[in-house]
Amino acid sequence: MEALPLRAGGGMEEIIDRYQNTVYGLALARTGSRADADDVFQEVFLAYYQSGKSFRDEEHRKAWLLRTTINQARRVTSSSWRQRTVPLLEREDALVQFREPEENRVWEALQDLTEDYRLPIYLFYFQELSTQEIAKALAIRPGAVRMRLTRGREQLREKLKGAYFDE
Amino acid sequence: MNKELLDSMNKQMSPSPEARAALTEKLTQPVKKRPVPWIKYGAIAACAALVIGVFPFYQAMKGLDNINGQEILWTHRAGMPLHSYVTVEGLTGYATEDAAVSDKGGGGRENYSTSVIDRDTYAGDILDRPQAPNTGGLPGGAYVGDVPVQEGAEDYQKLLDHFNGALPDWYGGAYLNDAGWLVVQLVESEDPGDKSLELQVLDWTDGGHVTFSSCKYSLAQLKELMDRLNALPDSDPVCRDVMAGWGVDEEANRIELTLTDVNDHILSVLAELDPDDDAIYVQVGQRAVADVGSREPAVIGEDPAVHHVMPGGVTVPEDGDLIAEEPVYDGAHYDLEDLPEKLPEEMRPAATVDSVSERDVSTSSYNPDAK
Repeated sequence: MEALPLRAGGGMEEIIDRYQNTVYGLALARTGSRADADDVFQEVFLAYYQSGKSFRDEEHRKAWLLRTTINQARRVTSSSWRQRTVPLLEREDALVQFREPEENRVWEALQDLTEDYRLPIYLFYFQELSTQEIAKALAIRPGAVRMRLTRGREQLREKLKGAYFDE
Repeated sequence: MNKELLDSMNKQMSPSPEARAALTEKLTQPVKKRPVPWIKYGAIAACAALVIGVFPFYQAMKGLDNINGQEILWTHRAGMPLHSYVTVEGLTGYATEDAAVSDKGGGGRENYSTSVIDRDTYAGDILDRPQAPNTGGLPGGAYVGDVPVQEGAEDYQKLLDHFNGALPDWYGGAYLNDAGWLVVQLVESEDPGDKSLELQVLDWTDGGHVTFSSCKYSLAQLKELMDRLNALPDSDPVCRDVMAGWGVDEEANRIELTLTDVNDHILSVLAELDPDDDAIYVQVGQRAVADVGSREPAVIGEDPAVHHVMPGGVTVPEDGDLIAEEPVYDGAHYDLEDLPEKLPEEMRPAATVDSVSERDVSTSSYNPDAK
């Protein structure tokens, strides 16, 4: 993996290329809306660019981006303007569409989980983060992450009837 | 979970080209400075101003006192000067104590016997005249009806006649000294060598038994101060509860005020009335009403109770009831010729009303059926 400058502001194109799916995917899992995820994606990298932070290593930078993504997604979904203007279910882009039906089924099942279970499941299975990294990103204890993963997995299996699990 | 499926989904979870282009464009723009959060700063400033504004009010609230079972909000402001006072412990003696001393005047412990204004008596050649002997036994050294007192009183009456009811600014009052001479208090002037006033008074009194003394306040000033003190009980309940008696002492050229209790509120009010702290002499203590005859003053020559001083130092004959009455008294208006034959208590109208005679059939025995 190519080494990128650890100080925010440098090599932005490369950094965006490397982390855009991570940031956007988490934003999408958190907001359930592509438009909101696009907004969060822009806000996170703008904040990164303007922060002027120096990171210890790539893990540190990734953790910072994940944490900022969660915060920005929370801000977007909880803003009074958004709540006042367009209800989430009435938006045309509310449903995230994937190419394959199976993918849509998995995504819908994931969206049916509460946020407490949805984000750990997404970060663990889609982003392949360890429980330690998830704990750091969500600001909870690793034991809580494991518990949520277990319960979230059970709920997913129940919803998907075990069709896509190959643990 | 099916990894191929998740990888496929991950690839589809990428930002739209529009979002990426917009981000790239934003990144090329110069970094905007964060807007100054004026609202936040304004709120902080408002809170600070509120705290600063409330603090003096809180200080005033700390002055809450419990008087007669009711909480009274003092109007005393922190930092205001307080009037000095002396504590009188009963009639058998009193200890001087100056717990509260104003910023100016007062000045620590004040002894009753030394607090009297320096009389600085002067009378030119009049001082060389022989002094009448002290023949009296009452305070002031004279009996009512004594010849020296009568002579001085006549001079005093002549003086008042010339004033014709309007007290001049230079006149600080008058009293009879131990020898029965009329001592006229003259307000200190800028030119001590100017004896025109003395000559004028001597002319008015036909060169009688008159000497002169200098003082600070004119009697008109003291009477104006008396008016303000008289109005105080009506306007201020805290002051009313502690003000026992007050009157002008022309000899001492001041007002003597007796308080039953002392608090910062009345002391601050008095300090405002008497900025120099020498026009009002404040005594604090309960007035004794009994056993007057057996008392032995601890400070010789002074009576801890408020004197109702008349010209010449002649007081109304001591009587326990009179002391208990605490009349609001202005000594300047006493006239020897108008001395009451009876004490005030005796002159009071009867407090009780005679009951209707049993034989009175006008009302109580009226019977509507008896026709």
